[in-house]
Amino acid sequence: MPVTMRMRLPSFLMTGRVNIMDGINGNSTCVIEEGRVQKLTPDLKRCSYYESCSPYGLSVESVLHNACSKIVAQRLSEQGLTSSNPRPGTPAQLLRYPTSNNGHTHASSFSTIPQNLPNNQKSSTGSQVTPPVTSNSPSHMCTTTLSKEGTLCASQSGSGTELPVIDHTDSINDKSFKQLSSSGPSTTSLFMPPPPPPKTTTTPAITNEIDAIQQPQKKISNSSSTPTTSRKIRRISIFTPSKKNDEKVKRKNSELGSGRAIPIKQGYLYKKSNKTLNKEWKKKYVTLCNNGKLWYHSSLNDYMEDIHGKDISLQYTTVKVPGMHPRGTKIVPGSGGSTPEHLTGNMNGINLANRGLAPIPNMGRSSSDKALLASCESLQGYSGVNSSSIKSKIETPNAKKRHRRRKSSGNKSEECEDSDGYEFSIVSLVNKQWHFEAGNQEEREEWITAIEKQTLSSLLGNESNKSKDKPENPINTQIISTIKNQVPGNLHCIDCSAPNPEWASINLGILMCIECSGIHRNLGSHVSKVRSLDLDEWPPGPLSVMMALGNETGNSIW
Amino acid sequence: MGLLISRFLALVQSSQPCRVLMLGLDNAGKTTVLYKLKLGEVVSTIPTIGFNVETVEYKNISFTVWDVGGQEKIRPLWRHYYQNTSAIIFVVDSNDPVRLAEAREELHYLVNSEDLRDCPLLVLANKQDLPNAVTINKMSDELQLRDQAKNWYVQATNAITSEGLYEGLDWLAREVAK
Repeated sequence: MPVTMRMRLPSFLMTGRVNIMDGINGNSTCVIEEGRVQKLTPDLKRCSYYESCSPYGLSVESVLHNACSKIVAQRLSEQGLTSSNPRPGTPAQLLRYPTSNNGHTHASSFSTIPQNLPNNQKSSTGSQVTPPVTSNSPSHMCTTTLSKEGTLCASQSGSGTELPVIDHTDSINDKSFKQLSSSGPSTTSLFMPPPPPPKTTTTPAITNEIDAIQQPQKKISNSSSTPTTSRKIRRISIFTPSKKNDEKVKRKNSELGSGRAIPIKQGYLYKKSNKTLNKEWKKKYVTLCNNGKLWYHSSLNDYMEDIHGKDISLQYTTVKVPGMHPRGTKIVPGSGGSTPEHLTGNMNGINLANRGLAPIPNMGRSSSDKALLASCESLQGYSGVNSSSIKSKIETPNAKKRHRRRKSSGNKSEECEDSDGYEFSIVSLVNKQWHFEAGNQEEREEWITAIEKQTLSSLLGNESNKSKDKPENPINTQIISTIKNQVPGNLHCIDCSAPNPEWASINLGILMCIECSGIHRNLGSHVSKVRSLDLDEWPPGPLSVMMALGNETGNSIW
Repeated sequence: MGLLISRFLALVQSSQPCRVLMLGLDNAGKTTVLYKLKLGEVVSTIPTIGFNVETVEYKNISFTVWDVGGQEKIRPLWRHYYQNTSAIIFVVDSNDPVRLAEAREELHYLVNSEDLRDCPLLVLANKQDLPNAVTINKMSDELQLRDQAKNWYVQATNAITSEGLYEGLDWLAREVAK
């Protein structure tokens, strides 16, 4: 969701404006069109312009971090440089970081645009921030573009600081950034300490485009060392909701800027209290972070303030869904020979995350019914509507879950009947449990998928830490990537054609997805010896088999 | 009232809890064993990333069975599960004689760890129905169990038909109750 936030100086005009891009694609369009955004900047005369992307996260932090350090620098320089020094306007700087992921456009960029500042403004609030202090510089605009492909081009224009936003847009040949700049400004304006008036009016604009945002500070210092500019401070911009006082703004600013973990998924869920007596369901604001932690706060406000929160480390946890069989598994009637016909194409998006992790069976239900239902469902597509949940829906077609649960809360014997809610629980390795409930089936699936992904990635991270004493053979890694990408047919699972198979049969020399690997394992190791490309060690023998064969060869034989 | 009494009785008679760690190489059949015990049904499994945990009531003992994934690179994580464990079930794929040496290494690492010193060890020689299955006698030799100081027991099983599973649990229940 594109949002633009801006700050307004009480006495005169806005200090900075942040354009936040949450990824724009065909489905989510801009609320406010490009023209208005661009118009805003000159309209408001004095404005540093930032663009950022919160889901990707990196630029958000650096923008804020930057902004914070600038405000500090401004204050410091205010003390040092009083009224006598000439103060030219701010040079503009654009750091652009386009990235894209899974079809979403996650473009992020960071830019500031100088605006000439009227000299006769007077501050009305107590605290003061100094304006940018830079040396006099030629009144042309220099745009340096280092595109993703590594090409470098520089352009100069005599337009000075008029409408630099447009210059930015022009200098960009990347589609994602076009989309970026088409995002709308929105609503938020906040009040910041007004700076003292600057004294000069012309500034160069320097636009640097880089691919990564790792060290924005460094980049800035680079640019300030260029002959045309020497800039010490920069206007700040912040995004916070409006009507917060300065102190609050500052705090939040530093908080976000100092690298709180980036949330992958967040929202309200009901959580069952762990207290022995009062097992109430309470609404919590739950945040899944990319560092493998799940936070919950009693309200969004608490989350924003970062207080009263509790976290669950997901590394040694598993997700269970009441009343469902282990995810990715199903009841097999008889001796359990299942066939790949069940594995249809609808598993594509989620095959990595859905790994057999989450059971809580309901003992009361009859097995034959389950087997019957299971036999007509495909592994992934209907996993949300598993046999037991179908049954429970039939039993309680219009159940008011919340009410029902309140009545039965604390009643252990009814636990297995609670499967009609969209519950899931997280179990740690010391058997600590957290029970959550989502609003609907899809929401629960999304949460579970996201949590399992985090569990897996923190497991993998851990394993890579561990293997440091036994360093991994880099040649192996290389060969495995060759097997994945270059051996004919290996881009798709040999049985169900799901993309990026990560499991192998070392005697058949083929690659498959995790679901099909389960079927191969079921055949017995005398038929197919299954290993994971990532989770198993690979001696040279099997590697050469994998190199020599491959899915194309495999399918031509069997 | 009757409900209250029955619940009170259930509390009084509540079974003894027992944390059981079920380990073994990948594709030994751990998850299948777990759900056969829990559900009495055969589930088609996929490789376990992370773990599964289920509580199985048997002979008035409440076994909390932890089934942890066995891929080579995630085996170092096993040690995180050691604490407070009362018993180990080690599942071996009898049909894969080539990997018995690998299984032995892992098993010996397990039994020598301090946290698991007092735990009885139940070895399930699984997949006995398959053509290349080794006998439990050979399995004991291969795993070099005979010179172990620990209490151990090898049980031939077929998790699909649940043959041998409850015999193994019987032994475990006796050991835990000691």
